[in-house]
Amino acid sequence: MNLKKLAVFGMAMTVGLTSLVGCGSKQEGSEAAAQTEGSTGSKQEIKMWSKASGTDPALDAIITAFNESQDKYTVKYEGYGDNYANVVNMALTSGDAPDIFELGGNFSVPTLIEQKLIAPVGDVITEDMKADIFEPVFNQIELYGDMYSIPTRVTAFRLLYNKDLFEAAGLNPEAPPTTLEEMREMAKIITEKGEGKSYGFGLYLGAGNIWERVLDPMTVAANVAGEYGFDFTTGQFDITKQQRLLEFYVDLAKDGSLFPGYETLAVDPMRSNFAQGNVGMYIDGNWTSGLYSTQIKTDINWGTAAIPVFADETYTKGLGFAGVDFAVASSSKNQEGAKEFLRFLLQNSEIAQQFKAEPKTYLPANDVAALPVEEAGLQGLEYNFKLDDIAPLPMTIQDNIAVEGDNRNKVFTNLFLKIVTGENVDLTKELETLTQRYNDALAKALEAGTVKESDIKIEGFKLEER
Amino acid sequence: MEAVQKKRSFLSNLKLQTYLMITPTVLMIVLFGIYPILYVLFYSFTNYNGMSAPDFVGFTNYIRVLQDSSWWLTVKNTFQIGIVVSLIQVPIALILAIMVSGKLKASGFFRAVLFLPSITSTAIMGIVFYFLFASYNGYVNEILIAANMIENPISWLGDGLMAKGVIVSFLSWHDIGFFMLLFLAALQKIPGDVYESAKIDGANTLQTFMKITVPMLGKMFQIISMLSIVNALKLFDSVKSLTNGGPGSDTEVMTMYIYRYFFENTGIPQQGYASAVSIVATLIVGGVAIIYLLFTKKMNYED
Repeated sequence: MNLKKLAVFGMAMTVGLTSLVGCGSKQEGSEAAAQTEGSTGSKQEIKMWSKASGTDPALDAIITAFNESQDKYTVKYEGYGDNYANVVNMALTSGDAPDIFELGGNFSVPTLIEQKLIAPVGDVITEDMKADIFEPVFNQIELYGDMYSIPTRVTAFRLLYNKDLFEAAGLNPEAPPTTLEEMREMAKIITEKGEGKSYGFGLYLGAGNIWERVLDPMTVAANVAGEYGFDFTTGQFDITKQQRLLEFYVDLAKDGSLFPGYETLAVDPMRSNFAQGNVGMYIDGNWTSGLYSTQIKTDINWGTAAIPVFADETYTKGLGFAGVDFAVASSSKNQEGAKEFLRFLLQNSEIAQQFKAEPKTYLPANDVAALPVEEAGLQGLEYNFKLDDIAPLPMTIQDNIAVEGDNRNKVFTNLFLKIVTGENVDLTKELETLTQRYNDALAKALEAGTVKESDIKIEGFKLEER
Repeated sequence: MEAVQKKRSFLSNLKLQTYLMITPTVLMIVLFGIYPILYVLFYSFTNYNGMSAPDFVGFTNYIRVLQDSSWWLTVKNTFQIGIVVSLIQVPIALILAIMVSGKLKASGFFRAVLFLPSITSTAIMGIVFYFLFASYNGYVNEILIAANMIENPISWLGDGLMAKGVIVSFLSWHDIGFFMLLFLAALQKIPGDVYESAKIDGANTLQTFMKITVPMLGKMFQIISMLSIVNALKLFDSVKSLTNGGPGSDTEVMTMYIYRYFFENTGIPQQGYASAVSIVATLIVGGVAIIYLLFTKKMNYED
C-alpha cells in the first residue's frame, strides 16, 4: 500500500516538474552548444542570416573561400525564408542578433538606425574598390551621411517573353515589344493563336507586391513619377500619375489576353506556367536567369527585354534596387570580422561565377562579357544583367511610413478587379483619396523624425538624370 | 508510529497529487494562452512598430478599428461564410448520423468514409481544391466540359460569390464527418424505449425525428452548433490556401485581416493597431458565442 502510494506520488511529482525541467535542459543545451560553437578552435564565429529560402551555392562558395583564406574568423550562414522579418525583429530586440543580416523583407532602415540597431559600414568599401562598383546604388543606401548596408546585387524588373510562342504566333522572336501599345497587340495575337492553351500576358495579382513589379518600373522608366507616384521635387505622393497604367492593364484584361486565374495567381504558379510555355509575356526580376535553370526547369526558349513604356514616352533609366544588402548589427561583438567578410564578398565574386546554378551579379562583376553564358546554359542573361539602363531611386519612401487603411497594392488590385467586372468606379477620385492617405502618413513620419525632409525633397531632382 | 502516519497522509494527500498532475497543462495554458493575450491587450493601447519601445496612445487604435471599412468588410465576409457553412454542416451531419446509426453491416464503412476528410490537413486540402477549381486546367472545369455541361471554363475562384461558394463546399466536405461523429455519440444516449413507444403509438419517421430525436438531443445539439459557428468564425488556413482572400478582398476573413496587418503589410509595422483589431475580433467571436448560448438555453432538455 505504501509502495503504491509512493509510486503515485512520485509519478505526480515527475509530471509536475517535467515542465520546468524540460525548459531548463533546452536552455542548457543551447548554451552549451553556443559555447562550443563560439570557440571552434581559436576562430571567432560570425553569424550571418539572409532571407533566402533555398540553398545558395554561390554564396556558400564565397563563404568557404573566406573561411579558408584567413584564420581569425569563420562565417556561419543561415537562410530563414518566410517570416524572416519577424525572426530578425525578435532577435534584434531580445539582444540575440546575428552579426550580419540581410535587409530584405520590409525593414525600415531609418528606424533601425534611430534605434541604433545597425552600425555604419562605410569603411567596408575602400577607395580602390570604388572603381569596380556600380556607383548609383550608393545613392540609395547612403543615409545620414554614411552607408548602413552593403548591397551585393543590383536587381531590376524585366519583361520576360517566350520566344517559341512568339514564333508560333508569327511574331519575330528576337523583337520583343518596346512600347506598351505593341505589347498589347502582341498579347492579343498570341492569345488568339493560343486557342485557350496559351495566353499573351501573365498578371499575377496573388503576389502582394504585384504593382511594384508591373507598374512602378514603368512610371520610373518613363520619368512620370517615382515608386507609388512619389515626386522627389515636391516631396509628396501623387498616385493619380499612375492612373494611365492601371487603365492599360484593365484594357489588357478586357481584351482577354490575361492568363486565366489572374485574380489570385501567386508568383510561383505564374513562373511554373511560364516555364511550361502557357504564357507569352510577363514581368519578373532579373534574377530569373538563375531561377529558371535551378528551381524551375524549363524547355522553352525565352528572353528578357527592357520594360516597355507608352509610345509617347521615352525609356530613360529603369528602376533598379540595391539588392540583397547586408547590414551589421550594432550589438555584434565581431564587427571588424563582419566588415572584413563583406569586403571579401565584394572583391571575390568571381568565385560565384563558376556556378552554373545561379550566377549572382555581385557588384564588381556586372560585366556581361565576363559571365559564363555559353557553358552555363542560362537564358536571358544579356538583358538581365545589363546595368547601364537602370538606376535606383534616392529612397524607398513606402517602407518608412505607416499608412492607415489598405496599402496601395491592395487598393490597386481591388480597383482593378472592380473595373474589370464592370462596376462603375471613379478612378481619379479613388486615387486622389489614396494619395491623401499616403501624404498624411508621410506627414506623420516627418513629424516623428523617421523620415527627414532633406531625403525626400531634392531641389531640381530629375528622374532621367539620376 | 507518528512519523509513519504523517508520511502516509502526506503521500496520500489526493489534493497534492491532483495539483501536481495538472500543473504542466495549467502552466502551458497560462504561458502560451493567457499571457500572450494580456500582452496583445497591452500592445493594443500603444503605437508599436516591432522595434522601438511601445508608446501609449489610449483608445486611438480602437476608434480607428470602428471606422475601418476594410475591417468591417472582412467581418461581413466571415459572417456570410460562417452562417451558410453552419446551416449546411449541422443539419446534414445530423441526418447522416441518423442514417449511419443503424445496425446495418455497411454503416461502419460509411462512418469511416464520411469521417475521412476531417483527418486531412485543411491547408493542404485547400491547395488541392485550388487546383480542382482553377480556371486554367482545373479538374472541375475539365469534367464539366467533357460532360458537355458547359462550353467555356468557369472562373470559380475569380468571382467573389462563387469563391465563397467554393469555400463553403470545401468546409462542408471537410468537417461534416467530424460533426456527424459528435451527433452519433449524442444519439447513442437517447434510450431506445422512447423510440419503441413512439412506433407503437404510430409515429412516422418525420414525427419521430421532429418530436423525439431533435428535442432529446438538446444540449448536444446546442454545443455542436456552437462549435460549428465558432469554428467558422475563426477560419484561416482553408481560406488562405484556397483564395488568399481573393479575388481582391472578397473572401478575406477576420483572421486573415489580422494576419495581413501583422505579417504582410508594407511600410513600418503597425502592430499596435493589429493587436487592437485582434482584440475586437475576439470580442466579436465571444459575443456571438454568448448570444447563441443565451438564445438556445431552452434546448437543455435535461435541465
